[in-house]
Amino acid sequence: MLAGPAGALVLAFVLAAVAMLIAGVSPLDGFGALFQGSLGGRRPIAETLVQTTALLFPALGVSLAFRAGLFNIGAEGQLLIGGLFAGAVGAHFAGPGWLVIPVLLLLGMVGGGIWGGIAGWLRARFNASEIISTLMLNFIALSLAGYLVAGPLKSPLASGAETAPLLPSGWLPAFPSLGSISFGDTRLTISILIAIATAIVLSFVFTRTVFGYELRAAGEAPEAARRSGINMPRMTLIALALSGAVAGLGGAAIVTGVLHRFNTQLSPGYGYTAIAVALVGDLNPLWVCVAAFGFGILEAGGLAMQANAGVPKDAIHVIEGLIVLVLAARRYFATRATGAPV
Amino acid sequence: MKHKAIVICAAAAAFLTLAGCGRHVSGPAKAGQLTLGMVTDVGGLGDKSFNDSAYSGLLRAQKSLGANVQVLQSRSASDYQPNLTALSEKHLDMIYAIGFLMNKDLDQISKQYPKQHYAIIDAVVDDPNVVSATFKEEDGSFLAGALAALVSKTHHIAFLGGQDIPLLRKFEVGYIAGAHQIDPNTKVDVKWVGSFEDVAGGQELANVLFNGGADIVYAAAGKAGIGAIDAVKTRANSFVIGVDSDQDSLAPGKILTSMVKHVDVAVFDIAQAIQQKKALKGHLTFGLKDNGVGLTDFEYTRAIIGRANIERVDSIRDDIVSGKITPPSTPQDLATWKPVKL
Repeated sequence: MLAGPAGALVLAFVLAAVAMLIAGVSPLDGFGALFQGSLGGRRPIAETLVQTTALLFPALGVSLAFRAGLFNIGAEGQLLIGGLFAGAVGAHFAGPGWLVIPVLLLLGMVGGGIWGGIAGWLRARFNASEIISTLMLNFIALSLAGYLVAGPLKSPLASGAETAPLLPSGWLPAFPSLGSISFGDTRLTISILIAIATAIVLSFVFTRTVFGYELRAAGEAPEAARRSGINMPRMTLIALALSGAVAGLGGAAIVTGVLHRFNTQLSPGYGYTAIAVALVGDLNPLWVCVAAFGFGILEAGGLAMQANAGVPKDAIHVIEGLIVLVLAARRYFATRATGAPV
Repeated sequence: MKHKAIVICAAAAAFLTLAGCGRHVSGPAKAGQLTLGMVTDVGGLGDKSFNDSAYSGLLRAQKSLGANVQVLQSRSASDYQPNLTALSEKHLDMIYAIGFLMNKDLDQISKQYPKQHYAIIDAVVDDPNVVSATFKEEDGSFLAGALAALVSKTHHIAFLGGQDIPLLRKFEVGYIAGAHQIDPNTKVDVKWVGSFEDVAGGQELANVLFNGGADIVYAAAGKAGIGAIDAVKTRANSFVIGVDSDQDSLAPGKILTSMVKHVDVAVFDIAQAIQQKKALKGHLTFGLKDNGVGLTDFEYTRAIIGRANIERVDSIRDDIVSGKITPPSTPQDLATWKPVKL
């Protein structure tokens, strides 16, 4: 019925165009603003890549867990805790950038890793469903972070509930200039390169290492994996902790790269959108990069659509939802037609 | 076929949602028309508080000044800069940043666009092209405290705050001073919810305060204050004082009054000054005199409060306006503040 993912995208955009017509916005204006605001120049592209990065880290984390057969719905909380760790320490950590930045990013991984690890331990020790525990841990993360920034970690200078700003040595450097094109005045930093490097490492781990093989085996054929001697509880704990660490690294990247401080308004739900990004990218780290760029276009273009075509901010989430829905439907119909998963 | 129907229904629901989203723009501006832009904080339109109040000021400017208005909503803290930038690129007559959480972002953007005029609500940004509008919450809270002390049968009242931040301290300190102006022996308990969203927490703490002997609770806690209103509904001889917008009708007869903060007045006044090309001071404060803060007119509680008490509160209001009484605004001020002999 639908030919390939390209057809699915086209269908999603057609549906979105119809919806825009009903909302009284010309689809030409709407999509014009979307692409102008995401790809139409140096600044828009930089913003798109900022959004891509914010989605890519949690999406890679989600992919890792999903490959191990674990439904980590908690990337949002892991990202938040990662950001919290980086922000809390970064506010007081003076030193040279080459030392401060790696330490803060590492702290983000530790924070996210602990948060994912809790769910992993609950699953390994008590067989508690990680779907429930990771989801619930999102709310605990939000409350905990909210309490800490309103209380013990609150900056005496800030008018709101947030940590003190990071010392400039903890700010991620701007993206290097490409020839005559400089990104110094945009919010694009080297965090996009760190994210892509993470994807390459994960791809290598999945396909070229024993651990990656065991991880995939645990996900695709758990019974066979168990019988062949893979320690399943241990694998569960490690996979969820690593998954959380990658998402937490994303939180630290937002704190050190974009906000330069931590508050609980860090994410508009990147950790949830990341699940869609991971699925659209087929859980393959390299394709997830491509999917994150696609969603980055929507996120950055969505703000521009709001500003220049008067399409409300929530509309972009509807379009994202339509794309996921159409892709999922395509997969479903394909399964039905051939009798085998695609 | 059943599944196909589900997919189609879901898609239909999704784009009807999109179609239903309202537009918050008045279309392209005509030459000579006053152009106003506004960036909401993450609370967004529909918060029944701060952002909505600002928006109603904008709508008034649209109606009576013929202004062209445009609103950009923010989904997270990292949206503030792109939204402010998008409006700045359009060279509007005035751009409003709603809420203190935007102060650092506005500080950066206003330096990048030195010719653009900005206004920020509830925070002070010290740049030549930014008008800062703050409110004398302590004045209105002083009246609320005086009223509470007059009405309390137990001579024991309470304050329930959202987050312990300097802005909320103005409410607390003004309230305590107002109560002590009436009767220095009035006991005032203080509790903080730690959040502006936690309705259940607000209810729990309001119950703690009522059980502790207070018969009036001033709930300055945003949406969490709704919890205090829920708590008072089932209690005899106990009252809540609402905040920000007129909440009196949420529990008629149980809400003594609301301390209303007219963000709309600030937004409109600034728009009017811009249109009349009047010079604006860098920092505008809105108090009782400017109708920036004030109590509601006791629609449901006139009989409970009594005419004599209302007259007493009115005369204190006049004393604040005339400068006879200066309510304290920080805990340091409160420590040395003495009730004024009238």
